[in-house]
Amino acid sequence: MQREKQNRNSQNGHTLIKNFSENNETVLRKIYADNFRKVNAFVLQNNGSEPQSKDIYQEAFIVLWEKIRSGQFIPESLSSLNGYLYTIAKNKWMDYLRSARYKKTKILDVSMEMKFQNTEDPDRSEANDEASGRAKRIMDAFKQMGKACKDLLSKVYFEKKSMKEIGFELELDAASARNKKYRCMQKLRELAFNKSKHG
Amino acid sequence: MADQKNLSQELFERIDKYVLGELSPTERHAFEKEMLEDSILLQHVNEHKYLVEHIEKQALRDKLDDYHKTIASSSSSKGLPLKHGFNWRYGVAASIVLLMGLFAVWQLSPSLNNERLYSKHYEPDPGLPTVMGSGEHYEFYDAMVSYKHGDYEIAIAKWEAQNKRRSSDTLNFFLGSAYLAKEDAKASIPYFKRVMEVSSSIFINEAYFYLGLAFLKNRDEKSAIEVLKKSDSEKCRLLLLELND
Repeated sequence: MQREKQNRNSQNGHTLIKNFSENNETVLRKIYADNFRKVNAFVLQNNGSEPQSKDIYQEAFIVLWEKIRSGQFIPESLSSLNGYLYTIAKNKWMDYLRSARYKKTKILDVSMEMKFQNTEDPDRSEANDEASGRAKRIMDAFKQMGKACKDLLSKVYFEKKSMKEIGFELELDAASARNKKYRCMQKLRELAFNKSKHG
Repeated sequence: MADQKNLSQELFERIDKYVLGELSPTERHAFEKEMLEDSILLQHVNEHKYLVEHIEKQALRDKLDDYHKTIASSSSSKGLPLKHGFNWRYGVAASIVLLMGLFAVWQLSPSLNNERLYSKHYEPDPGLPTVMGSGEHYEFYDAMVSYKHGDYEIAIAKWEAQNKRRSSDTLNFFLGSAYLAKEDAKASIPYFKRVMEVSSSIFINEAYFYLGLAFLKNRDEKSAIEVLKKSDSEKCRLLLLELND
């Protein structure tokens, strides 16, 4: 009976890990939607506002996604995953409440809503400064790209669609789509790495 | 550091295929051997991986606001806590009315009670957001649009056809939801049962809940309780609490 339950759990866990590596949006959306309410309640009950709870939650969700994909967190079941997500969000909020920046805002104008940024507490930050600087450059560069390249790269690398499917959606043949992918990646590299040359 | 800017398209394609897992096992093995022997190639590959990782991360971040809209439009927004202070008078008045109502209900017959509980707890599942242009899932979302418009018969016909070709817990769940939405609780039951057979299904807690409600609607309180006990989701627990009174 215990073994049965364990087998079922590991099946659940494997499926979840697979869904996160493949960026299965049906699953990601559902997990996202199902867990917000509890986090929102926690933040609101602890001196937070709705925009802040949304920011914290989204940051936490991304951490969850990273940890599952890197193998740092191995979910045994959907409920253990949900619990973990809640814990991440809770800790982030508590860190923010203890941070110097929050303490300053309490003294200053209280109506100033500051968008939460995940760069504050060095004890809780995951990567060292150099690595995270590089990562940030890449992500900023991606944000700044034209919509066409952004959509294409997102379809290729996030949604993991085939070149054939993408070509069909963009009304190109697969070869043209492939060329476009190459050009967009070159552009991304230029945007991300050129900046470092100028400091 | 390898000069990324001068990566030829040919080399880019090879690395990309490798990183995306599009090589056959033999090809992959050969490529990995090459990587071990050519440290510049290895560097290129690692940087490509790093780039892809962060493209994915930013792409996900961009999608989260869209995912958030699912919350705003679904019935779960009912669960948001009231802002402090403001509503307590209404709370007191509501409690008095509730107490009176509960007393009256206690006097009512069981089957009327089932009906009442059903109406109280049931709301048609809001369905999934319809993002059109979703390639291979077009048919599924097309039926979802019908479902959301309340054209349950049409949604059912479309989903049934898809389910026949290739059954899935998602299809079974929404077929059950559609039947229940058009008040055919009896027809919905086998569909929800099929969802429950897939232990890793993301719809499993909802399936337990709606199956419980479907049994209630069918005046089968015993089966409803049995099924609701199997889930520890909040919705199930709340309904169970009221049933056990």
